[in-house]
Amino acid sequence: MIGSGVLGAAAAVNPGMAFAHWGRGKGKGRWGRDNPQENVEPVDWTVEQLRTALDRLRDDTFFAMIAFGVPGNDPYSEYQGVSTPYPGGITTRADLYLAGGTNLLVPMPAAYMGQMLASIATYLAIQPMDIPEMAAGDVGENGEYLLENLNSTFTDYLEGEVSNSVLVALLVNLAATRVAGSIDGPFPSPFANLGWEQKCRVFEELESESSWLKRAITWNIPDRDYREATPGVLSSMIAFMLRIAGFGSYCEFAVFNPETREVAQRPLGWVLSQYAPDAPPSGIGSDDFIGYYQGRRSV
Amino acid sequence: MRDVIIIGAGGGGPVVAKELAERGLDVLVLEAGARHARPEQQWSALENHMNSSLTGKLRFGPSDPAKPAWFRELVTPGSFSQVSGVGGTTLHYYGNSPRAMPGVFAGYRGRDHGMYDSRHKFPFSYGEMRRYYEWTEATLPVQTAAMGTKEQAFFQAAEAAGLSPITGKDITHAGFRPQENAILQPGGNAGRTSDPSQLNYPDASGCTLCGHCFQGCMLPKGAPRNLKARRSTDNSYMPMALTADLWKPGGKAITLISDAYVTRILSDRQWGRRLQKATGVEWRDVNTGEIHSEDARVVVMAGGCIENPRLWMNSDLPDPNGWVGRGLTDHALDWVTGIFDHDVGGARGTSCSSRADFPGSGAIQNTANTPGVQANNLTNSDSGIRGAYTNGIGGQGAWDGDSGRVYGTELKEVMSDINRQMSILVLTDDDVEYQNKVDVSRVFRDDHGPVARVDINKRRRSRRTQRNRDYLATRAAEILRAAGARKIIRSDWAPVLLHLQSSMRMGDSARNSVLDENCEARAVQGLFIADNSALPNSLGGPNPTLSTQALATRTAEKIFQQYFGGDAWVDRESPICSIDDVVTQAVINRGI
Repeated sequence: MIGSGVLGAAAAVNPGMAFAHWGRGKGKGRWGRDNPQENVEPVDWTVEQLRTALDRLRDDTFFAMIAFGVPGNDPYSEYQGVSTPYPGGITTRADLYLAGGTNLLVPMPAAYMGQMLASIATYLAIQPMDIPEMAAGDVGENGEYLLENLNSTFTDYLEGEVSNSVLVALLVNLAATRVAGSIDGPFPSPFANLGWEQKCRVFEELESESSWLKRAITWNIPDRDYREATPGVLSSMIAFMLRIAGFGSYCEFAVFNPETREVAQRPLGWVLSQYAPDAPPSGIGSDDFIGYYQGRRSV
Repeated sequence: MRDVIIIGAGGGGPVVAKELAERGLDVLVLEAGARHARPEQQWSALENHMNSSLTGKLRFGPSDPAKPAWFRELVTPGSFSQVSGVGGTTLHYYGNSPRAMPGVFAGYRGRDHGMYDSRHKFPFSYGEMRRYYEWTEATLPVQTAAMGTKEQAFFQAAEAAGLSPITGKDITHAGFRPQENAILQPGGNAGRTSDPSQLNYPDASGCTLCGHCFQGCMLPKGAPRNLKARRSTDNSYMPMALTADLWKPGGKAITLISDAYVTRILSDRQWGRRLQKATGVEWRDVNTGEIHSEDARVVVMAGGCIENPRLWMNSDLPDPNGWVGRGLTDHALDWVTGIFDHDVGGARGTSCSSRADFPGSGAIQNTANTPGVQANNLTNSDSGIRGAYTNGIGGQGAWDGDSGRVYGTELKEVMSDINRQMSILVLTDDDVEYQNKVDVSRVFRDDHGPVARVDINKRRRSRRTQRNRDYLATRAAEILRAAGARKIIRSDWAPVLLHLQSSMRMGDSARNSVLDENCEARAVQGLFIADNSALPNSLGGPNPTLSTQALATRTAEKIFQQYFGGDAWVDRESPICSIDDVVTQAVINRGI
């Protein structure tokens, strides 16, 4: 499937007003044709390029998320201004854990996913992501163009096959763009180019009970039942991202051998936390027994 | 037609099953999740492999790992920590088996009687409950926990903080104590060595102090299933239920079907004593999709606080007073961690063997944690990221700085030596509140109908609940300070839905309870509930499993008396312990 056109009509749309454009892109092979962005030449692109761009944005965002939670000596940690001289969560590939978990977290019905993504993309059209020039090559051919011009019709081209991880990556980058505006840096993801304190501001916005962004996304969802479920779904995904950076970094995920049900080597998280220094194999007992408090074996 | 069908083989269902099998009734137990028949060949001691709520062996989901976990919708921030399968959430519990606070029972006259949730008490006295506690404690059995490095540190600190020990099973005053755990005390080499070659049964018996309660107990290696250290129901009540004909004259082994998701309770309209009468159940084979049904004289729901309301509503059963799924309590859990300059055994030894109880407020307990779980616990908060933003809360107190999640370099620093951490779990005596509820989703459904939707808003809990929680966090911080912690962090958890109670509560008033004083549904004759959801309140804070099991024992007696013309037995007989030689021989003979 090939699409062509200009993405991302930068119309000033308030929550609720985007309903007027709902579904217009379906089957027409053109995005945003009602409001072509000035001074942007239409380009030919493929759905495969769109998928690649979204996946790479997601991967970059999740690297940055793990560096945010458990920083190390990797480029993402160093660029955010909070790093350590030894490895962190990225070394364990906790980003993969985060992406896989996010995809399984909520079984989004296709229609609901479509409305949620369209709502997020509506605001991305209002305040587009700015993919830094130096990182444009990291999101594939036409990737920069596609990501900077997303609008509410982009999911029509993906035929319902969009993962939760792409959804939360777009959400986080939308919040990053709102918090910091145009963000330059070495990474394609606006979130990844933020300093550690700015990343905190992003999650402050996303976690807040009175978050404008969450409310705006919610009110832009046409179906009433989906709309009512949205605050809870978004909160679950946001909380999961914040928590799983820790769990994914310190558990055995990266070195688990399913054949032996044992770790192939000591997980980095065990090294960092000085846990089970003699493992593998995992211990089945300890010599920590001292006795019974006041000698009482029963009460 | 069966005598009794029990829905769910978690913490409560197997208790009713064993007790009624012992009486010779024909009992069918249907469990939606897996039956872990060979844990030594299936499990590990690893966190993600076992505990991932999405893909782990001990998740709320089907036995087939290729299939996704079963989803439940959350209205407000929080996370689930429940397990399906034979054993249910006891598969990952710590075996903590304290009795409830006497103040949450009818007729309590203590000086502190005004400090409890007085509108939602047990409809009978603590004295009546005590005999069921004793029966259950003897059956499991419940034993005084052994002491290791972190327990010793906790006891010394609690003394230094001005607390005195509690020396009985009844909670008589604010004080500390070793846990009364449903865990066999270490014997032989257990607790004396980490050498795996010396830790096989029978060289080692009971708890080996491995620190992996949360990953499921399959130790000591080589022990018969009923002699595994922790008394989760897959190791205690279920082996007894499956062999009742072998160890009890007149007993009848139950039928257990796993991977059987009950989707409907069948009922007849009856315009007599109740609105309807339960006649059986319909279930779906999780693997094949086939639908089955079977009739029974009595149906017992034991699917838990979340699934019971869902099943009730999906079965179109009546809810005349509007309390089905209402009044959910969760102990408003919180997490307080001390960081030390010396080793306090934070990840060593048993998972949880010391506690302090505060009647009228709740309880706290010291836990050992594996690194992934500890990092997870430190990064869960309703108060934002410490030092960066507070999410409108970020309370200050006896701990250091704002409450909140530990993140970034602070997380790495705190996690730099897990044995220099001491973490305390706060178990709040929280109120039954009508607005905290379980109903069914209007968006999400699975093969078994609309999924459950849970709404328990931490920020809108009662003033007493919030006050109790803050008080307990303060006491936890004081103990950690007395132990010599150089830094104390209060997480202010978003709800962790682990200790769930009272969503189908029993009570003395038809206006605010689903169940009567015998745990039979007020609106549906022949339908009983025997899990945490039947509890009338949050027990004053103590861990719920023992109380649920004691109450389930009482419920089994009521079923036997009311529907099968039998006599009560708890006052007249002595219980057979699940580790008795006659049970062990039965388990070996049956090959389970």
